[in-house]
Amino acid sequence: MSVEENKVLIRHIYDLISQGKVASTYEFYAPESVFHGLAGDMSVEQVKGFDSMFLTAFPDPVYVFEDMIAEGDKVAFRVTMTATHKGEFMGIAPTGKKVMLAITNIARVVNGKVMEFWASNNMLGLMQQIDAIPPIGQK
Amino acid sequence: MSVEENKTLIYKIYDEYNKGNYDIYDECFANDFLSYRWDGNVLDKKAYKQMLLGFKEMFPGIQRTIQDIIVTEDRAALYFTWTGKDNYTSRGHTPTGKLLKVNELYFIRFKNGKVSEYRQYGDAYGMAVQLGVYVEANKVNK
Repeated sequence: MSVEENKVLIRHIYDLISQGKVASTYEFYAPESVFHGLAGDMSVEQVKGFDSMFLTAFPDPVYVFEDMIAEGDKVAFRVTMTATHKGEFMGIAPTGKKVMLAITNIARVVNGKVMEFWASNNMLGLMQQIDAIPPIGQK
Repeated sequence: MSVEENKTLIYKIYDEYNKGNYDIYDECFANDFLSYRWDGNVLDKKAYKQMLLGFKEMFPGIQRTIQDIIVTEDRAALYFTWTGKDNYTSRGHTPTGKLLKVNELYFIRFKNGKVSEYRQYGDAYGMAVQLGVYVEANKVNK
């Protein structure tokens, strides 16, 4: 596929999640794909588990693309997610707060499927917005 | 510049950085360079170099290893890992000397053969966890 087709694929995946259709995104991942997340590598099955947890906590995400850079089989992209904290997230009870998450990822796309994903999201910012981070200097 | 020239420029900057040659930023960054940081702050060329020098003190032996680079004729996405020892003294933290390892992803813009813009994103949460401290509350990234 061309770099432009790869960009369209990535945008489509996030559009589907915004529309509440996360289950429809998994067909765009190769079965052997690997997600290099902040907490280590995950398989597609593990990503499904993470998505379920995340979308329970933030069930109404809307993703807006800020930037995309593509070369060869790689697409780097910046996306801003806005959502409401309506369910427990990493032990934090729902706060009802509107949150924003800066998502910065690289995807490797092979034959129309995502084969690898490197995530570098601003989890610190997200945790601060739902009051999960204690004040400065406290552990 | 061509894709290959842009790629060569980035590798040159990071090679020289790892040797401790911070003057490379004077040479390879545009005078109107701006760095948009994950915490909402914006640094100009001089402030960016000062920030790097501060980091060198906070994390002695700091080295950056390029993991991946995606380049076009005027843009690049750079994924790298830095390692350095914990000599961090702010926010009530006592340095441990422990080796830290943090991933960062930069979105870069080139202009007239020089680097003109960084948009910096990194695993600040992972860094805070490794340090055992939490960094200052940030503005939300946009």
